[in-house]
Amino acid sequence: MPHISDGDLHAWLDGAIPEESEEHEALRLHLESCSDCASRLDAAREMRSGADDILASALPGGSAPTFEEIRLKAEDSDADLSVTAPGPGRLRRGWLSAQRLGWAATVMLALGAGWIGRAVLVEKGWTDPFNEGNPTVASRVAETESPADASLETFFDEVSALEEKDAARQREDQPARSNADPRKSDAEGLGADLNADAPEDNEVGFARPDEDAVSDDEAVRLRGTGDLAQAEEPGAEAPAVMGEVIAPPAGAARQEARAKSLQPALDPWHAVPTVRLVRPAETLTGCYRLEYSWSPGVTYLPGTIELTAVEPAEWAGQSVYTVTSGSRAASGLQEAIWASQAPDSIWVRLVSGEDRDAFTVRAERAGSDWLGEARVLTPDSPIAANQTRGTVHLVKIRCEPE
Amino acid sequence: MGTDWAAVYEASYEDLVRFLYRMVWEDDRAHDLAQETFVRALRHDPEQPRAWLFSVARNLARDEARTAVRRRKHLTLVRAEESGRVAEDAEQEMERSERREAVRLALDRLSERDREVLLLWDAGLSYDEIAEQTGLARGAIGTTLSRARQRLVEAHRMGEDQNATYL
Repeated sequence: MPHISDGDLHAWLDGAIPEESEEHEALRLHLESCSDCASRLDAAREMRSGADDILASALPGGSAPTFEEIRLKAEDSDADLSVTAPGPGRLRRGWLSAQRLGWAATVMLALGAGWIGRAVLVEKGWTDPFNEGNPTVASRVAETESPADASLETFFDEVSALEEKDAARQREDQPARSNADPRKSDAEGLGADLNADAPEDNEVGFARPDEDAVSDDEAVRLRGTGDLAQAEEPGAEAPAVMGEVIAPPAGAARQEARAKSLQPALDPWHAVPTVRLVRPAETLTGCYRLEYSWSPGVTYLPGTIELTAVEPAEWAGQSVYTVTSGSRAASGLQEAIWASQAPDSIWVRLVSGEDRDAFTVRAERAGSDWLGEARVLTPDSPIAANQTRGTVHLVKIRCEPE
Repeated sequence: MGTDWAAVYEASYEDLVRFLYRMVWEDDRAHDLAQETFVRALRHDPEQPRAWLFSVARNLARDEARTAVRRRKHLTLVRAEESGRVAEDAEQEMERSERREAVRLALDRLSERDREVLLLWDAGLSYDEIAEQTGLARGAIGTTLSRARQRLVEAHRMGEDQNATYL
């Protein structure tokens, strides 16, 4: 008998050759008499074991749902299917679902038409008899706490339209403001807090869905980390990294409004230091100093954020990002990064680390190349482990050459 | 059909997740796809449940791979609710991430066919089932597995050597 092939040796080890078969008997006899094949069998066994160990070192985490949960999911999807294609046994349930959907659609249409009609009336000077002190659409929109609850595209259209109007008005005002305070337009102004003039509702810190739900020890207040899109001063030095500030892509305002509405529910780390990079492709080109000041006040951490945009026009409208930690050069580096599901933002959190020199986070959109990059340098003081109280300031500085 | 789906679920869910995880490299996504596979199976009630499950899972994972973001080195995604635990969790997650990355890179060195056969075997499928899934002759499964294991071990070792050089 010729030597046993590698494939048969592995099949033998895998128990894929039935013991009662002639082939099994022939292989057994050969292995007993052929030292070459016996040693090759040992080598194959070792290789098989090595491959198993490698695969076992990358096992998935997470826990399995119960079968009942899966069964209910399947039933739900059955119900969904029955609306469009009711089978003989599902006719009644499908009919009911369709009927409910019909009612729901009618109600939504009525609400939507009412909202739009009301908006038009208000724009033309009509005063809401039930709320005379609040006569404009803009103020009503501003007061809406949960725009996502409305679930109406018209809402975001309204927001976009109003924001565009506001932006146009601001553009008209800008030259005068710029002349009035030239210091603000100096990108070298290290002490100039970008958010000094930012309205309160533009503060970027982290949105905390429920202040009372977080203990004082866990609580962190980020002050002065305003929305840099809003804080970008007119006449500021052109960003050194990209060379120009990119205009917001169409629908960006709507996406931002949607993102803001989603953040509280989606950010599980609302109680820890976080730097939110708002649409970096268009707003955070340039260099910023990141200042942490912790409240017990023992640690002060200077740092720098540099941002570059790769595909600035394609930022909005996506919902899946990953954040990648780049530099691993520093020993003892520990950072945890959480990528928000919200469309226009990335949340980066520094956890702890000693001898940290730098790390890089990058935003990546599904199916695309890099969209933005934030480089955080922390050359001096390390962040103490698990610091959870403090304030963060972003200060625009002049970009230093590489 | 009289398939005891609860028993099939009990016996196959973890295997399916393990198989999918090595295709998509995300815990949550692997679970999502496994659940989607079972939901579809319950709707269709196929005659050969296990073979059907892995066939659908393979297709879902391939679709996923076509649209997914290319994963980068040192990807670290940590979700933790308790801030006090985060540093420790992050460290563990980092180590896990490095191991996963090493395995992923080693598996990437295999041909698609070799990789699939190896992962199907690792997920608990028999030679007959793998042959049915992949269209390979049953007699070719051992040869394919032999080649796949050898390349995996070599590629993994090569990756370790390179890391040692950089350190």
